[in-house]
Amino acid sequence: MNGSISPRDAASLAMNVYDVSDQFFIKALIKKYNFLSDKASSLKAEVGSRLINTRAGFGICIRGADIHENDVFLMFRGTTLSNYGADIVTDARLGVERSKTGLSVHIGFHHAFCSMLPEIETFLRAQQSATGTVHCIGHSLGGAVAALAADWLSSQGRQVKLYTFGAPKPGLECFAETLTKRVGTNNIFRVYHSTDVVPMVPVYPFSHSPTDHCGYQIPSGGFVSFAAHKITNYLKSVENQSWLAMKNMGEKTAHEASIEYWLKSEKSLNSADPRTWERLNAGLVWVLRRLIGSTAVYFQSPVMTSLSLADKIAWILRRGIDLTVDAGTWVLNLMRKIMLALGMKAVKTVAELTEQFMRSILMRLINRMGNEAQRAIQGLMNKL
Amino acid sequence: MSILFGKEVVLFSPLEGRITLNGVPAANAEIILSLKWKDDIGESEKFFTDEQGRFSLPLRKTKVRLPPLAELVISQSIFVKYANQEFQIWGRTKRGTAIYDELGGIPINFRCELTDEIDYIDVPDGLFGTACKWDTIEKKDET
Repeated sequence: MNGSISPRDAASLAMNVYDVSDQFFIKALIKKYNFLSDKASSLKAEVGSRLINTRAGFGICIRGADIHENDVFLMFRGTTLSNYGADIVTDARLGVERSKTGLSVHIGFHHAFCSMLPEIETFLRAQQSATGTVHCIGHSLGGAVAALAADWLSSQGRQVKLYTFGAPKPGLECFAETLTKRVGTNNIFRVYHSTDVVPMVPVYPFSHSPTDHCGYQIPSGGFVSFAAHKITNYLKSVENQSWLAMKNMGEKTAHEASIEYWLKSEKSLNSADPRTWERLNAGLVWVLRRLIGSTAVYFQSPVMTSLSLADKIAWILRRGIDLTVDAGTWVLNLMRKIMLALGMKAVKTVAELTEQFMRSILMRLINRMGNEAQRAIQGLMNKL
Repeated sequence: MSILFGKEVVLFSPLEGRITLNGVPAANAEIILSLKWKDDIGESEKFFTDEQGRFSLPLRKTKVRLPPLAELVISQSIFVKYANQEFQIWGRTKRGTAIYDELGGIPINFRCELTDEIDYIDVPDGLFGTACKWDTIEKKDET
């Protein structure tokens, strides 16, 4: 991929940003990568909610060297023992607020990014000759922050490449779509294990970028696990891969056609598996996109309760049913899957799908998806 | 339920060696071992070399509640105060919980010349720089 760093280097940097706590380790980091120069600046960030207000080293800005001499590398780290009290990755709150670019993003991730922004700006001002690409890199929470940085930088007219590993969804669909358009699908390298629970949260209407590609999904067998989230395991998964090979690997398992096929299939559902809820999430997005092209304009309210969300979706689905037979079939397949997952007897005809009926089912779905994601995390913790 | 009671984590594996300045044993030099794993401040411990510049840093371990989605990073730094100067001879981040994760075993003939430049060593986990040298690594199973 033109001008991008390799999957191994991106994952390795996402891992090593955790290691940097002082100038000695910044130097060790720079010495490890021949495409980094010694003009580094460490960032500090406030991590967590507004109440906890913990201060912790959070990321670094480094000027590129060699073939990347005009580039800048921004790396953000996720959760460590020192800031775990302020963990916001698994925070159940669906709070959103306006980003610096006017889009709806997760409050916690936005707060972390904003606390670092003044230092990023200072660094970039000092590196005015670095007019090339800004590479934004991060794992977990750091990946969500990297996405916010990529959005802000692209709004400033910078060429950006975004590399994330096991990152949660940073904002609502309007954010995901704008980021995709501004940065470009080919410049977004979203890597995730299929059994990592963190990229599944927060649930809809939070979304990942790019919106027109499933990202670089690495099939990881078995059930969801915390091991699938570790950056060291991401590094092992990608170290001998190219972006092209990984793209093909992901497309085979997570292509949109498989969502359509899954919706049509009569296979029974395992509601105890969090991936079932993630598939329903993907199925819902798939149907909505077919009905209204983009869902961004509909779902960007900063105050998004499950009732107002269910209300809007039910309205769109019902209009879809009335529009064409094909659309009606998509909605019917989706609603049947949702009802089966919720342990209900599935409807058989579109006539049964009134707006009010669908609203009540969707409310249950949205609440359940949120609960299931939390339960998956809690369930894994109980096994420890 | 290690999340409640904590998991035993080796913060620093035992390390023995010899310190010289310009080839002369650094007698009675002050060694500061600084370990950070749960906050930005960490904990420090002081040791001294003997008349021949020899030192022995003991195993340091603790019980840590490891939140499953958090990354474990143990930051190890060793400083030597000698002849009115301070030198950093070791900086390693340890990402595992086991003994001898740092070098994969016990270093044989571990020696640190204070005037030597730091060598940055490419390790698959974490970051590593040291002014010290060793001949071989004696592999050890977990004790």
